[in-house]
Amino acid sequence: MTPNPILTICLREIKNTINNYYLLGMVLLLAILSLSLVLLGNTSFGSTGADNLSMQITSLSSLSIFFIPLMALFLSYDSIVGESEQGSLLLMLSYPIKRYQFILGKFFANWISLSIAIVLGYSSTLLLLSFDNNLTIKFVYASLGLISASILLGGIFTAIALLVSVIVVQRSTAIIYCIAIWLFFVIFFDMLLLITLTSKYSHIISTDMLSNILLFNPIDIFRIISIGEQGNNLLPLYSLSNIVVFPQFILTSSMLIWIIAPLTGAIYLLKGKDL
Amino acid sequence: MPKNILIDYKNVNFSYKKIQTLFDINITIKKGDSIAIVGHNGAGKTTLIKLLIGILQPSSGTIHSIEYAQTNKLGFMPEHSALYNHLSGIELMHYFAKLKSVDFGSIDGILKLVEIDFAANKKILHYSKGMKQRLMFAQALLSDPEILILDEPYSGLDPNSRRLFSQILQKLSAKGKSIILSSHTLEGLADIVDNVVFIKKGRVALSGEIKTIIDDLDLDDKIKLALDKESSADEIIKSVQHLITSYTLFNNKLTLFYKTTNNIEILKTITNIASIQDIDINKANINDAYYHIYDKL
Repeated sequence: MTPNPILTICLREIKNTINNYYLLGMVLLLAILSLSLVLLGNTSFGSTGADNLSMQITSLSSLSIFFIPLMALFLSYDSIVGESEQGSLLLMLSYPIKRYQFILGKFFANWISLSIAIVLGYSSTLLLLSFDNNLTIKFVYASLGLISASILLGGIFTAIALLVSVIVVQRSTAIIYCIAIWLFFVIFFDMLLLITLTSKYSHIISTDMLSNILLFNPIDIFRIISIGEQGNNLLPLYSLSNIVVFPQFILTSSMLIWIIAPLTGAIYLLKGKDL
Repeated sequence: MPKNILIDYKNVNFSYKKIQTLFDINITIKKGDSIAIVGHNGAGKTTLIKLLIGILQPSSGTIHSIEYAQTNKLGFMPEHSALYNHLSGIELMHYFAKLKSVDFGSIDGILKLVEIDFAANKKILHYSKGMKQRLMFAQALLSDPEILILDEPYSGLDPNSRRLFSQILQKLSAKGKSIILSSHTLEGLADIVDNVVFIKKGRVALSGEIKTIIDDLDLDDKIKLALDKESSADEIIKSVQHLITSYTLFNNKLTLFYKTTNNIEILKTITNIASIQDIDINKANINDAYYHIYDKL
């Protein structure tokens, strides 16, 4: 049976991530940070009125918001431009491989590697938390929600990084673009939104409009999905999710669109790329 | 298209972002042809190679060819290519074989052919540049391709590897494989290829069979003479003046340029001259053709 090129490329890339210790590094980073955050978080409930689980899941969600996009971008930023710089892209595309197969092979490899890191990295922490929360249905649901939303978030930024990697002609430019993208979505987008909402022009943004605007930032969609009801009585930023009236499937579909759109762009642009 | 024609380019142009890099390219490659695309750095060789392997599409012109691009009929060796350094040579070959859906059984033989079998289980990270080139050559031979396209295959190779590559290419050519290689150096090319395409500033300056080009250009052969004293040069020049077209003299080294038909006559004349310490006879070759053309265009 003829092996599928997407599968062949994907397996090769995953092995490469393992051999380079990238996977191990990501697992350790997520495990150490999530454990530290939860252990430190347990001592600082203060008077927010939040229950234990809400606080813990919110802490882990914040970790995902900051680190998973960063890890996805750094894992994939040179997937195409790196091969192009080294000359191996030319060789690969002379093989009986379609360009979309090459992109998809790379995408799935990096997404799967990141997903493995998320599952393994968070597992130790969630296992620890399960003792604290007596493994209730609510805890299992919240944990699965966090992990699956984090995986989707990883997929989005892997796809975005691949798009960047196709567009640019130098690895160094790809890094700059990726950092800018991370800063925009993780920090500036919400910051600009909050500034607008608290300014004298706040009336121009209706509640419905605000809900729709949030769909333009995958970080906010993730925040709404993963924090959900836990966010209702937490920090002011998270309370943005209170106004969102979208059902879960719209939010999940939005995240999937955020994966498919840059991926399609990457496939389309690779066809016209100067190699 | 006649059955023996593999690739036929008629008036092919290529532009990228409104900058034209190839102009009016006309090339016909027949089954079993071996062709060198020769030109300076930046002449357009690699762009032409990219067109030939199907990575780029021409902006205008007509291409008739058998369906070989992105199939197992094509073996390609790029000029520069980083390999997966964490893999061993054999693992990389397995990877490429999977992508080409080729049986792993042929890999050992190919690695032996390019004399890299001794390092097959060694990580590529520890390969020398020559070893990496051999491995790249090996992957091009997977699937026993009908057409082999090599972009600057001799770039950075040591003399042993060079000789090995030439021997393999000669054998493949004898088996009827079509070989297209690009090079900015001409050394030893005549032993490997029968045809040449000279590219200058994106245009085909001259193309055809090497022997025909040299004959048509009516290039001079040359004899290099090492003399024991410079004064004896006058005596030699005087004696062969009617047989030569020109000469150069530098540091007791006299070079005589002449038409092939005068070969024997010149030799007869100069062998009796005692001051000659060494004789080196050079037939007009592809190198001379190259410089002749580049000087004129």
